[in-house]
Amino acid sequence: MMMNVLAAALAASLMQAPNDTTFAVGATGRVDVETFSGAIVVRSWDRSAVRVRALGNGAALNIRTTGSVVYVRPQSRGPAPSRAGLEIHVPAAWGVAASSPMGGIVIDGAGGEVTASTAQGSIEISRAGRVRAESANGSVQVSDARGPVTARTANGSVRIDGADGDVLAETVNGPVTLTRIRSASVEASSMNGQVSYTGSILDGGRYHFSTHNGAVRMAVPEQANATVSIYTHSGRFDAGFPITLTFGGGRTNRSEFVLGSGSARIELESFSGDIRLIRP
Amino acid sequence: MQEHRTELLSLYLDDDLAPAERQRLEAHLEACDECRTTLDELRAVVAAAALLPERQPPRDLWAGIRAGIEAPVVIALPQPQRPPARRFAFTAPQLAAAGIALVLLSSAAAWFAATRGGPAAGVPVAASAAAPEAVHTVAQLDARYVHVIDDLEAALADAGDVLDPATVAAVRASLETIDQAIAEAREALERDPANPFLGRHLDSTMRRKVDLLRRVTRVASMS
Repeated sequence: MMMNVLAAALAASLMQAPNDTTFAVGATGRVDVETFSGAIVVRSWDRSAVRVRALGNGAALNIRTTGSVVYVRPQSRGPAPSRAGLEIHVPAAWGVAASSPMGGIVIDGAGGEVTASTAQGSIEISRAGRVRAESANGSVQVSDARGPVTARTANGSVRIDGADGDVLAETVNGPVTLTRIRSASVEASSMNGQVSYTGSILDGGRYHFSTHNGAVRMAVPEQANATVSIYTHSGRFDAGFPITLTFGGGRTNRSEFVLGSGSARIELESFSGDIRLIRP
Repeated sequence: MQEHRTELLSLYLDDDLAPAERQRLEAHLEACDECRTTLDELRAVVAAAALLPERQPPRDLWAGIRAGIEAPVVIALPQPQRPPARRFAFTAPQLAAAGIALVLLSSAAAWFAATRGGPAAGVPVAASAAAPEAVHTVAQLDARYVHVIDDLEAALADAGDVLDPATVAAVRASLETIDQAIAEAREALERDPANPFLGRHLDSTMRRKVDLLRRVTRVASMS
């Protein structure tokens, strides 16, 4: 394996780098990586350096730095676009912007802002700061995010396990599963799949879960203070604990009840699926 | 800027609000001149329509009505499958006779809601939990979204060659899912046009289609 350690002087304009390159960087910064095809894997480590390794025969690397941003683009040695995958190590406080039209993306431990987009492939992001992840065809999974999370796919599941900031989770075909959420603003929706939530209901928070064809399942902590609105066109509503409806039925198929002070706002909607509330 | 609650006014007139919501709305009406004006306009529409005699309007007036408005207002016709539990009801001839008055009066109120109480004109890029609701009709939503969807579908068709076939198949499957949802929501809203949940649901479903088409065409342009 070829390993080069390059000084900061290397951080010049566009350079052709060997397919395994390590160079010194500051404690904070961002790596911006794009490939045409192939997986992107980014992991954090405890060194003040970035290592970029191309995974694939015949791939070279174009690396360019501007300020604290490192741009990485694999380059094919032939006429066809590079199909090399990339493995990158960054300092723990760095952010990542990763894009691959055809390939999965895995990012672990990048504590800065993380964005990931792919047309064809799954996305897994863990232990990040702010997260924005979008796939056209593939599942999106985010765990232990310390900032706001936006996770979208058109075809596949969305799973968020552990998030402290605002959460927006959307899919067209597939379930949305939110667990260990501690946020005052959560919005999750599917067109064709179940939406489920387990987490805190913070006073003054807003929680909106909707699906067209699927069930909505929500775990409501006993101490929650929330005004809960239920809308379903042709589904059923069921609470696994005693509630007193302040409004129910009517031509809008809407029910409402209050828990505690009613401070938070919870809206649960399903066009044709059931809505069920349970205790955690 | 004060948030308007025009989406609740029809339900308020129907006495179809939860007590707490009714109380909140009445408190809001105390302080909001615009919503109070809209409520008065809606009351006038209801009163005027209820007084209209049962007679068929001249047919040639409909062409003028259609030409005179950009987005026709859907008029609620009684549906045998889902009898509306409203406190006032009109026969079909009454509704037909009231057509002109309803269009002229309630379109002002509906568009007041759509333009002053609802989202800004054009297609919103993303859902906003804080955005106030508008009173949505099928016609309004069609006017807002259909041409955008047509343009994006054409762009996607042009760009389809550069996308991986598996991606294209998945996107098509997703679009079919959304189209099915739109059809179901549209049918339900046409049966029950005053139902704010159904209007909002159709709005969000059509917006989802626009959002998906935008994202996919953006990805295709990057490929």
